[in-house]
Amino acid sequence: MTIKAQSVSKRYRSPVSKASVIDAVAGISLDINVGSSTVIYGPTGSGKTTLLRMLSGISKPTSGEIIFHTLHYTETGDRKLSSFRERYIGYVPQRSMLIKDLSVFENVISPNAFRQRHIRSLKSAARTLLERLNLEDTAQRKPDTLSGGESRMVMIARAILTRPAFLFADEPVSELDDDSAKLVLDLFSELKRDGSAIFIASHEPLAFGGNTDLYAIKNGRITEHTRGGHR
Amino acid sequence: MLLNMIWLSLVNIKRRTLFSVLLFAMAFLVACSLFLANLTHKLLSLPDTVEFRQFFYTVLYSVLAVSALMLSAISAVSTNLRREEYAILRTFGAQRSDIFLLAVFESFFLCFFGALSGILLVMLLILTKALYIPYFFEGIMRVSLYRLIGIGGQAVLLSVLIEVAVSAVLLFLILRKDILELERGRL
Ligand SMILES: Nc1ncnc2c1ncn2[C@@H]1O[C@H](COP(=O)(O)OP(=O)(O)O)[C@@H](O)[C@H]1O
Ligand SMILES: [Mg+2]
Repeated sequence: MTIKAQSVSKRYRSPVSKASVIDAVAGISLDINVGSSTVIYGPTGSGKTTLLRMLSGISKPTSGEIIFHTLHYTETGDRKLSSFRERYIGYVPQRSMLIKDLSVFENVISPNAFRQRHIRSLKSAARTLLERLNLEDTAQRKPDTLSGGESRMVMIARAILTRPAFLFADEPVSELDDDSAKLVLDLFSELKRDGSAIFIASHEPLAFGGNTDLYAIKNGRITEHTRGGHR
Repeated sequence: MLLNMIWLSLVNIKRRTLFSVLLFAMAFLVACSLFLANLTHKLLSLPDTVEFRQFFYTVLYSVLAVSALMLSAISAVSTNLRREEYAILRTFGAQRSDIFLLAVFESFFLCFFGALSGILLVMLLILTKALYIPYFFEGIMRVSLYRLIGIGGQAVLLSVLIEVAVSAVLLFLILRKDILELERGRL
């Protein structure tokens, strides 16, 4: 299984003046295979978040195409694209996106509960995962009582709860201490071994296991690509 | 998946205590007043109850109108406050129809049980004669159970419908937007 991006671009209308535009992503092509890992790094504003959101099917490219099997993102309606996200994609956003009225435990489960799994198996998976991330004490707390790092870890748990085939993580370890970062990256490696694709955006080149594709991104363009050896 | 929906809606009801209590209370009032008004219509047909009946109707229909309005308003406000939550659920793969369904489940639980308890309270008050209205007790003993359930069901249905309809219309307006817009709207 592969997600193929073909000269993908995203142009935003500038929020300040209607006439000018921002090319957040400008003609990026890359393949993401299951069982692989990729790190894309670049300075703030280089287009990493925009790219990740497009690859995960959350927003659509302005031009170019992203293809998964026979599914062409730009030509696919909301219904099909939503259910594609639900089945295949895990996404860890850069800024905190947690439902503020629900507890940590409920936050990890609720977006995953609409289809596929039985609630009981979701609950036990969530418990196991929170324990692995040393978050069992926060399970009953509300998101606004968490530190930045903790809420990041909760979002990671939510994204990998159903072991998605493709995981897109937007600066997943930038707010974490070394021990927690190691915990998270180990979990990602494990997912990769089990056959998921791991795709990480980071503001610096990140050491993530062996065989990792490294892309440098600047002003919405790939400036450097280092292949991660044979798989 | 029915079980998942039930779990999700109960979690949401539990975590939004204030709105849940308010919606429950308004459904309770809507059902109480409509049920009593319909019963009055059924039971007080004797000529010497005309004056009393008119007074009673005025009170009941005012309560009904105000509580129905409040139910709609509270439902609208609560749906609107949850934009951010909808953006999050949509981001992680929930369909628009999933969110509609969730809203229907929540409304159903709150309004169904709110309205039902309202009707049961009214029945209890009549049967224990705590609510004394001339001829009421005698009258209700002669009404068949089916009739009574019919009148009660109508009251429950109305309060559930008000809530479902209001939140559905608002959800439709909110969810029309794509996810990015939905998210931006949260600030
Ligand atoms: N919704 C938006 N509207 C307008 N401009 C945006 C929007 N989102 C991002 N941008 C712009 O696109 C560029 C890339 O942003 P982003 O993808 O967030 O970069 P990164 O994640 O690498 O920091 C930035 O210049 C940013 O200001
Ligand atoms: Mg970013």
